[in-house]
Amino acid sequence: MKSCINCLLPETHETINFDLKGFCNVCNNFKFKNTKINWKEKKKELDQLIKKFKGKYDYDCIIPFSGGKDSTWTLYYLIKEYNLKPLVVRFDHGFFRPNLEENVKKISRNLGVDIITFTPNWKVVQKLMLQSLLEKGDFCWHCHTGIFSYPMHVATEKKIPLLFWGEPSTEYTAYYSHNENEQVDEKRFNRFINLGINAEDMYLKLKGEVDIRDLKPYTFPDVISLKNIGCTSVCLGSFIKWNPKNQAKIISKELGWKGDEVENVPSNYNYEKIECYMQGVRDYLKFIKRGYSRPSHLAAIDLRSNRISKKEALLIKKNFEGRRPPSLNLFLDFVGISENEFINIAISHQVSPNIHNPKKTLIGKKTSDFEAWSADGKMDKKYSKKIINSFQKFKC
Amino acid sequence: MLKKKIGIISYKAGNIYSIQKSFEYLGCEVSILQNINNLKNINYLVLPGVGSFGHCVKQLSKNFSLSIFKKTIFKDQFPLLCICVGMQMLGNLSQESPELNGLNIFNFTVFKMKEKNHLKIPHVGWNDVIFKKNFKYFKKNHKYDFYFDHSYIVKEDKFCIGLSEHTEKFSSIIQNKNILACQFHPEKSQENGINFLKTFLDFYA
Amino acid sequence: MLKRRLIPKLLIKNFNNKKNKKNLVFCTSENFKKFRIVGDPVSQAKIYESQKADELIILFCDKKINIKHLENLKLIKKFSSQIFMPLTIGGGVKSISDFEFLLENGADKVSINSIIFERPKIINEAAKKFGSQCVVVSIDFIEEKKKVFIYNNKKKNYLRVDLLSYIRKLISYGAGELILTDINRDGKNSGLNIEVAKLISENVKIPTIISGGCSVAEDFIKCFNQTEVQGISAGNFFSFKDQNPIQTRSQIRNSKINIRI
Repeated sequence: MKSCINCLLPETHETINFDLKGFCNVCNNFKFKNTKINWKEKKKELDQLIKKFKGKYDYDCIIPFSGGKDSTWTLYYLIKEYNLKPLVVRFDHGFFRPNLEENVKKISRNLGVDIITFTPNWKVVQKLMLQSLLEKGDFCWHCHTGIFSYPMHVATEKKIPLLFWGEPSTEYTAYYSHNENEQVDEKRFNRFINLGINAEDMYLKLKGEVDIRDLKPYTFPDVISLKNIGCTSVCLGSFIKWNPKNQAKIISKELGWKGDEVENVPSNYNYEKIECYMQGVRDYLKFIKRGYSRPSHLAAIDLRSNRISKKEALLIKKNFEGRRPPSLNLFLDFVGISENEFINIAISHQVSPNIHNPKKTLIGKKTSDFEAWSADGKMDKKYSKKIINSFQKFKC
Repeated sequence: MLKKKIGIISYKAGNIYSIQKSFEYLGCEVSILQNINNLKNINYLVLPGVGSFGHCVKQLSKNFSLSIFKKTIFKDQFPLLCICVGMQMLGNLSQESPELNGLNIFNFTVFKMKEKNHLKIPHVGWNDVIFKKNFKYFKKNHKYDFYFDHSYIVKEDKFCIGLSEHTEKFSSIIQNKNILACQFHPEKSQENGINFLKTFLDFYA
Repeated sequence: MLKRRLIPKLLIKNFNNKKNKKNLVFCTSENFKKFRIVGDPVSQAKIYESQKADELIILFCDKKINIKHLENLKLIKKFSSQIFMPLTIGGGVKSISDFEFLLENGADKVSINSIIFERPKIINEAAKKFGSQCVVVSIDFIEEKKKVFIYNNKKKNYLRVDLLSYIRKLISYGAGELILTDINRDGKNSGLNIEVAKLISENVKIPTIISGGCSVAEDFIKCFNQTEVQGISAGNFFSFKDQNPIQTRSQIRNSKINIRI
């Protein structure tokens, strides 16, 4: 397995490309961000952009928000720097953790903002998780599409044209290059957010198991309704230099934002991915498919900034990566499948040259809030068996 | 802002629907021209072309007066975009149909691509165009890929502003005064293609 | 330099949902006998365009197809008006007027398969009228015990011929491009048929596209490295794996194969 000589990300990382020196495009993008972008100019562009919209609508902008470090930073920065009146929009994927909810209470009371939270129908979510796990080896379709579509619907319904998201995709992948003007639009949604599946596709795939109306929160609004409100949907990280570690420190100090333990992640990275209690399953799935996961990702970020040595990075991977997370038990019940079925489905989505060896799997530790994670809403196994059978036997 | 008005010359030689839709996507108003007598409401002309040189020339002369066409191009200086065989027709003649004359607007002969080792003909797929000068959205000496589908070429020419190579080097873009011509299909070349059409509109605005 | 192509393949079928409403849907297949729904054709085409697929192959594959049917025309026109990428359309093409119909409404190339068994001269007629660059010959085959049989999907029978000579004959009629599909490998994750791909691509002058059996990016890399195929077409690989053309392309590029990035 080839890997980047700088950050050690393997060749199975989505969109990774190695240059003649062996550096990957993610590292090169990072270098470009730090050396070739005129951030002063970008800040001026941001000033102009905000001037265009501020004070003209019921809210100055929408900030899609989870309560994690990136969306919290986005919210904090826009209020402190520009005194904006945002509408905070939260898409509840079903797995918010207790510490996260405390963070959100703290932050929203500290900053003073209006918040809309949308929690979709769990029974629909279960079906979507199972279908997307089977088809794409990724059970988070509802979350990816919901997070990016739902706030856009709020924008069109409430006529709030400006939306600020967090980091641009160039931070971690190369679906876009720095030369491309990355907007959070339908092209981006189709390029990598929706896993190649739109709501109208999912509706056909589910063959009448859900009402088309149930899929509205996952449907990206059409170009015309967005044009009608003059929609501008951008990443804050396209205008200010993104520095997650620093940003996490600032929001902790200024707002009392707290990090959290995450399954199979070293405790010093407690600012990362604290919002979802299925994160451990997500990481485990990635490890089975691609042979690496979150510990490698976190080590890569530190390697790029010369904060750790390669030896330390390899130790992080060795000690944390690829463990079976305790949250898997919950997940298996949520979608009504056995662990064996889960492993086999994951293996069917392996990315070459990775070949997973299930026999070498170690068990990961529980986090301290594990018992507080809701296990309600188990899937009827009759349904899941029917779906799996129909999918694997090509029954149209 | 006034919409730009495109006239696509229709002479039953290939798919003009995609070209029409590409320009409409760019916010233009498109008319399909069965003749070029009344161009009052047109700002730009497009000459598409798919098929053999001979077939295209025959069809064009069947449906249009070539003398009026040339007058429109030379005297009235209408910005004209020629695509694929549309570009080839601007020359004197083609090896594909040696008995027929082209429009003689440019002084070149169209040749069949020579054979070379394992390289396949027709030249189908995405290939690089190196721009020989800065051209709006395209930088000099930079490579951009476009979609090609042809077996005959215009060799490197003094009016060549975009150069490509398959079994040999050839002109992928030529430009002189009000005429811009490309061997590739901009209406099928995704983002680069759309930018090329934008360049045509802005260059001759 | 001309780049190798990644070509998602999508089959269009009529599908009756629970409310008895007929829909044209995109499917992929297994051995061309069983089908799996991918989704809405226009949605999928737009997704592939955003994912920078090099081209799309779209095949109508219901048993009785009237290519010129209004529903089909509406769909083809929708493709052409919303996506700006090369389209090869086929499935049930029986005549020159079918060719004309497809080319006028947005297809760049027309693929023919079953009709070749009945009337191979259609290749010549189409090449003369539209140019051979528009004429794509699609051949389904199976390989059993090192012997290759050409499969006639319409009549459900096999033709035992020398594949290379058969193809050379079709090329002499004016075919501009070739699509070879290994029916046994279709949807089976068994890898591409490298031997047939090599034999044909190295011995014909026109571009060859191989299809059937892609399972991992390594399959693409092996085939591009070991044969002269110009394109690889895949249905299940892009629709039902944690993959997309951009990801696959990066992996292929890392193996120093010339492909768009």
